[in-house]
This record gives sequence, structure tokens and C-alpha cells, in this order.
Amino acid sequence: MNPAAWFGMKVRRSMETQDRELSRVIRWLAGIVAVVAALGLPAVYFAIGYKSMASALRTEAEACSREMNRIASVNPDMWEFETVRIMGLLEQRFEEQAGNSRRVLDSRGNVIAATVEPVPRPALLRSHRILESGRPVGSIEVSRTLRPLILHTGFFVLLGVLLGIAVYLVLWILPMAALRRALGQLAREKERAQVTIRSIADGVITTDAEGNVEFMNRNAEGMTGWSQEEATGRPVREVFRVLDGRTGQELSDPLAERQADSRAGEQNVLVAGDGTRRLIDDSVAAIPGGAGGTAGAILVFRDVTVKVRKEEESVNWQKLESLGTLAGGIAHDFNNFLAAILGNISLAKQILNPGSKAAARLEAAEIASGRASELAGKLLTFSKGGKPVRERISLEGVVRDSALLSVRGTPVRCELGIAEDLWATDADAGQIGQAIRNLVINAVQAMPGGGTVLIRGANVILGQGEMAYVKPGPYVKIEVADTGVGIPGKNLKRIFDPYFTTRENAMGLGLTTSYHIMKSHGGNLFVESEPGAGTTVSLYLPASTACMPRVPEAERETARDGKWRVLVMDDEDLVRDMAIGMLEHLGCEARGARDGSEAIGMYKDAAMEGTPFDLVFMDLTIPGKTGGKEACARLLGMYPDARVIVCSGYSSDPVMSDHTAYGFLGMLGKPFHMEEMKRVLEKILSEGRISQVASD
Amino acid sequence: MRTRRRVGVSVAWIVPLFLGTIMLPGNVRAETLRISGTGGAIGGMRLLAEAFRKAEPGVEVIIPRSIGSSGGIRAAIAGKLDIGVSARPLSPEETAQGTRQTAYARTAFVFAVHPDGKRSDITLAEVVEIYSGRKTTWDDGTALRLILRPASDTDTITLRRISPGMADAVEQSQKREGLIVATTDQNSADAIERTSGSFGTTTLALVVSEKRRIRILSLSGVQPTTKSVRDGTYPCTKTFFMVTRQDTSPTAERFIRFVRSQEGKAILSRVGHIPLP
Repeated sequence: MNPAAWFGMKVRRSMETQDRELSRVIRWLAGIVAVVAALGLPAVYFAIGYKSMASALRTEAEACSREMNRIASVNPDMWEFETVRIMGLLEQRFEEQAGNSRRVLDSRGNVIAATVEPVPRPALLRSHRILESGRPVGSIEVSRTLRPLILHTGFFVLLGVLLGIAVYLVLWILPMAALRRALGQLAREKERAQVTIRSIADGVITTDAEGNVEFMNRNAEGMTGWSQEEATGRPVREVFRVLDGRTGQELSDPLAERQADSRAGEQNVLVAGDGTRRLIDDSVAAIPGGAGGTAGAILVFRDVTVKVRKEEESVNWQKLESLGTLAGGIAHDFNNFLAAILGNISLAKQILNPGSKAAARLEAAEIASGRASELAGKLLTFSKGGKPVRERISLEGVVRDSALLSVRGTPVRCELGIAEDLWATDADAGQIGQAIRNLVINAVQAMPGGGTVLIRGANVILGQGEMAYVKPGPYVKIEVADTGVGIPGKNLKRIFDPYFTTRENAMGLGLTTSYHIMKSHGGNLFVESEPGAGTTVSLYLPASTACMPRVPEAERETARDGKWRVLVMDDEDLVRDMAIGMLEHLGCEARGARDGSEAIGMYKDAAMEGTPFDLVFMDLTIPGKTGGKEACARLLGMYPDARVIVCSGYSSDPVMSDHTAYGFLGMLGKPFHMEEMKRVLEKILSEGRISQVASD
Repeated sequence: MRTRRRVGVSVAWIVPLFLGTIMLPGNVRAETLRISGTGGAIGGMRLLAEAFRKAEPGVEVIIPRSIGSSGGIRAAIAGKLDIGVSARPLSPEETAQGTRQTAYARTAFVFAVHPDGKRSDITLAEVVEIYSGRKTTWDDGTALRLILRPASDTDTITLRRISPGMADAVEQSQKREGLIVATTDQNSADAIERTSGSFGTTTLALVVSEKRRIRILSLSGVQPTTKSVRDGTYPCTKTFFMVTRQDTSPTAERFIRFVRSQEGKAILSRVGHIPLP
């Protein structure tokens, strides 16, 4: 899986998991509050109503009992027969309606007087004693049915249900909206942070407190050969295998040893999963926190192989320049002396008898001087470099002819892998052929027992500063690889020195000459070798921009300076600036737009000015403004030939997975790095206007 | 034969001795007669009791305060009273419980006002106005304070029976708030007597027998007197009954006979009653 997509998916899954978890908690809380509200409203109403009714009945019973006490005290023997008085008392302030009742009972419980029949159940009843001279002689009962209260409570149950639903919806919708906004903001911030981390040139690995890998950015993946998915949870020493730059010994605990290491300016060697070795500058910093005071560590490292190589090339170049000057000077003076020697020998031969012994000796001296003169000539060629006679050629034929000629009669087989669409170059075919022959001969000599020389040809675009003494832009790369004995490290630094050779019957000028030929063509030459595994020599020759299939005649003016005009549309300043930086690094002229409408406007303006954009990168999602999908459709409606690449952090979006259906030529998942951007450009350049591009 | 003669001699001695013992003055047990009921008749009953005591000194007549007609009937049924006095006839249910009633007098059911009241006459139309709440002041503008009786009281029942219009007015008065409600006849007389601007109902018998300071109003020009009641010119009357159990005591029977005697009737006639034959 694409690491960017994998990481994006992981972030989204994490956010979705959090979203689901919080959503579940909020749903439960909202449900509980809603149930409490739904039940609480009628319960509170019933409790208040019940208490109020009980209190009222108690007060009523007490008031009536006081009156009854008076009646009983005035007529202690006959009070129970004072029906009229008792009824008058009972009917005072009595609401004669269904459900209310007042009764007076004697001490045996017999009803003396009652307003109405006992109220139907359920009912609330409060009674109070009737006292005559302190003796209880009866009681008064006041009762009231609970049915109206229950009926009203039922009404409040309905209200409570409605309230509960309203509360649930409010507590569910509002916090979830806020939560989703917060999570969305957090996700955007996280994505931005990840894009930033993934876009920086250094490799970054973070570990937990136990030293297990938690996170790797794309550069770290590329340098270590481990994907984030594979590396997560593994000890960092497995993923980040480092050899001490001085001793060559592997560091058992890269984190501890790098934190304790105070050396500066010395590189270690990072061994990738596939065995590739890189020189790196690295540093380790502890992440504070956690139980032990350290929550983990962050390891930042940078591939300085190219930088070191450039420094070595610079040294070689200066050395060869000096050597060339010295050799040229010596050869020039040497030729003068040889001229005098040869002239005098010729004169002496004229004086002497041709059959004499001295003449024979002079003949031998003349032959040796002739050889010395040839050597001086070679030294002069080396020092002056030989100006190439350039013409537009296809390297395929030159490479094929030179290689096959060089392996003829040897036990070595030549295998060619030249791209069919290999760009043309403006070069001296003779010199290029000589350089190829030198390299193939070296390869043949490195495999005395026979083997295969693999020669590959491909189109590449070199970025700014990617290679020493080489301008950024399109190049044709020729690789000559053998499976021979390889070059020991101690000799690798001297292979460009004139006359340095480890083989018999070799002068040690072939690689040096090839190097100078490449330099004189504006290209370069690199040697990578692994003792026992073989050597690979890479030649870089500038491609002829005039012959690139990508540049149509109608747009010649736009590419007259050899630069592609690319428009980058993204609402994130950080991402947009980074993409523009990458494109400029790759030799393009790039401009930025913040949304789809602005991009379309800029595209139209550029087309009207006669400097149209060759390619447009569009971010798929622009919150609140025109996104990539809509903008692409509108742009293609106006300019059917427009080439648009869709970019997004949402690799699972249907537009990303089926981008061609939406008119996009290709897709670029965020975060992306230079290599992916470069691949996209190479595809566009190599496949032409109507080709479609896939980033992966 | 000799033995039989001895037994006969013994009985001849023992019986007179026993009868003599129980008839000695110091051993005569005092009889008690308890009478109560409707307040309108209590005043007359007290006078009758006083006269009866004189006629039969061995009988103690106790008349507690009035307990209303229904209370008197229930107490008589329960045996708490020897005679209950009621202003209404027995209901079939009460009769079924072994009671009997004796109507002994009628009296005028009168409308009365505070003794300082300016009015001396009233019409039934005005009474309807007063009870329905449409008339709340006297002619001089002073407040008219209606003294109500409970809905189940015989005064209220008597009022309702005057006319359908009066029944409606009484019904409305029972629903009015803030009116004075007198639960007994004595309470009603007290309220009329003490409340300025009062207007209420009572009986001629109560006013006369208890010597109440109450101004009795003539009804549409007819003065309520025993004469006007007897000759039927005064239309509103109440009848008093004596209620006893079927197994009533001889003393009670003697008291009833006394009430219905000429002496009793004379007493009643003097205090606003029209004795019944």
C-alpha cells in the first residue's frame, strides 16, 4: 500500500475511532439526561402534587378537628347526634366535587357524618383525632382521590417524553457538531503536521519509551527500506541499522550511543533493509514525559551520500584539473625536448653509416622517443580535454555499437536495456562511444571468468543540487554494471587518478578520459562499487530539450528556456509552497493558486498571454471554495488539452481511486515527496500530451 | 294440709314486706327523661318540662342543647334520648327502625331582622331577591347581611317548599361565598340578634319562648301570630313532632300525654305554638 495512503488511512481510522468512541459516550450521556428529564418532570410534578395535597389534607383535618373538639366539649354526651352542626362544619370551605370527602367517625369507627361517599381509590387520606376533655372520642377523616393528580402526571409524562426527546436531540446534535468541528480541525492540523514532517528532507523516526518505532516519515522509509506499517512496534535498532563511520562496527543501540556520541561532522553508515548503504548525519533527542521522565526519542537523520560524493567529486575535479595542467605543461616541454632529441637523432643517423652499430642504437632511441612523443600527445589530449563536436544523436545506437564492439571476443555477454523513448542528446558521438568502450572494457576486465555486462538507458530529471557540477533538468542516464570483483574502498577514491590501475597491461587512463568526456558534455559520471558484488558506472548526459516529444511546436515559446510551467492549486500555504519548491527544484517554473476559481483565472490569463501552463496540480478538497473536481471539469470545458493532476490526502476518495473518470491525468496522494513528484513529471514528459499518469 | 297452710302464711308476709321496702321514700329511685332535638322547639319544651316536674316530682327532665331535628331522631332511635323533638316528619327509613312520632304543635316560620332594623314587612318577591343575591342592601343603603342555614336544615327545606322561584334562590344562596351560616336554630337567632343589618329565618315559637330581641317581619302585610297561623292567613309554618321508640318508657308516655293535655297546650299557646289536637 502507498505509505501516504496507509498513513492517511491510519490517521482517519484513528480519528474515526475517536469519533465513534466520543459519539457513543455523548449518545449515552444524552440518553441518560433525556431519560432523567423525561422521568424527572412527571416524577417531580407528582411528588410536589402529592406533598402539597397531603399537606393541604393534613391542615384541613387539623382545622376540622379543632372545630369538632369544640362541638364535642360543649355536648360531650350527645355530640355525635349533632348532625347539622357536624355537617355544617364538614361543608365549610368544602369543594363538593368527585374525589373529595370528609367524614366524622366515632371512637368505634362508625361514620357519624360524611360529605359524600368515600372517594374511589387511589386516594390520599389524612385523619385527626377528635378530643373531648383530652380523651379521644372519634376522628375526622379527610380524603381526596389521586386520580386527577395521576391524570395530570400522565400529561406530564407525555410532556416529559417530548422534553426527553428534545433534550436528547439538543445534547446529541450540538455537542456532536462541536465535536466534529473540533475533530475536523484536529484532523486538519494533524494532517498539516504530518505533511510537514513528511515533506522535510530529513528522515524522522520517533520511538516510544522502550525504543520501539512509532512513526516514520517517508524519507525515513526510503532510507531505511522499511515501511511505516512494517516498522511500527519493532525495535529501532532493527529498522535503523547504523555502522560506526570510523570503525565500521554496527551500533547495538543507536539511540543511546547516538545520544552519548558527541562527535560532530562525522558520518555513520545507514544500512537499509535491502543492504543499501548510505552516509548519514544523524541526531537523537529524547522526548520528555512518561513515567521514567522519557516518553521516547526522536531520531533525525539525513542522507549525505550525495553531499559527500559531491565533495569527493569536487576534490577529484580540482585534482584532475591540476593534474591536467601539470601534465599538459610537462607534455609540452617534454615534446620540445623530444623534438630536439628526435631531430638530433635524425641528424646523427644522417652522419653515421646506416650499417654501423651506433646507427642501430640511434634507431632504437628514435623508436623510444616516438613512443614518448605519443605519450606526450595523450597527455596533451588529457589536459585539453578535446572539444566535443556536438550533433543531435540518439544514444541507443552509439551505446549498442560501442558495447558490442568492446565485448567481442571476450567471455563476457552484453545485455542492453535501453528505453524506447530515450531522449536525444546533443553530443559528440565519437567521444561518447569512446567513453562507453572504456567503461565496458573495464567491466570485461573486472570479470575475467566471464559474466554479463548490463547496460541500461533511461530518462531522468535531476533536481537542483542533486548532482555536483550538473544543472537541474532532463538527462539521459546510461548505466554500465558488471558483476565482477568490485573495487575495494581504499581504491575507490583514486580510480579517476591518471595512470591509477590495478591491472597489468593497462594504463589507467580509461575512466579518467570517460570522466572528462562527460564533463565536457555538461554531464557527469559516478561509480558505485561493492567489493565482490560488482561495479556500476552511471553516465549522465543532458537531454536535448528541442527534441523532447513533450514540447509541441505551438508551445515552443513556453519552453524556450527549457522550463515547464506548472500551476499548483492548494489552499494550504505550507503544502502549496512546498510543492512549488519541489517543482522549482526539478527545474520547472511553478506558480500557486489558493482555490479552483483562482487557478482557472490564472490558467486563462497565462493562455491569453501566450505562456500557458503545461501542467496543473489541483487539491481535491478546498473547504468553502471551488475544489479540484469542479475546477478540473470547468478547466477541461474551456481547455480540453489541459493536463491536470489531482492531489489529496484522502487517498480513499472515489475521485482519487477513479481519477481518470473525472478528467484527471493522474493522482498524487498527499503527503508526497520529491521522488513522486519527479515520477509524475517524468511520466508526463515521456508519455506526451494524451498519456495518463499514475503516481504509483 | 298443715304444711300447705304454713307456706301460704309465709307468702302473705313476704310480699307486703317486699312491696313496702321498695316503696319507702328513701328508697324511691328518681326517673330521668332526656329530651332534645330541633332548636325551635327547645324553648317550649323547657317550659313543659318545668311544669311536668312539678306534676311528677320524681322525674328529672334533662334537656341538653339543641341537636337539630335529624340529631334528635337519631338519638331517640339510638336510645340516647327518651324523646326526640323534630321539625320534620319521620322518613320511611327512620320509621322502619321502630320509631313513632306524635305531632304536637305548629308555629309560624318567620323572616326576622336585627332589632334595630327599619323594616317591619317583607314580600316573598323580596325574599327571593335577597336569597338570589340581587338585593344586598336595605332601602336606606345599609348592608343587608343574610344569615343562611345549612342545606339540610329544616328551615332551608321549608324555604324551598314555598315556591320554585324561592327554591332556585335558596340554591343560589348556598353557592354564594362569604355568607354567615348558622348551623342551629339558636345560632341563627343569635346571628340575627347580634348582626347589624341581618336578615334570616326563625320560628315564632323560638323567639317567644326564648324571649329573643329580634324583629319579626310581617309577610306581605300579614303579621305572623298564632291567630294568623291558625286561621291560615299566614302561609309559612313548621310542625313539631315528638319522636320515641316503640318500646318507649312509661315516663315518656306520661310526658307525651302531659304535652297533649290541656295544661300542656296552654303552656304552648302562650309561647307562640298552636297546639295540635
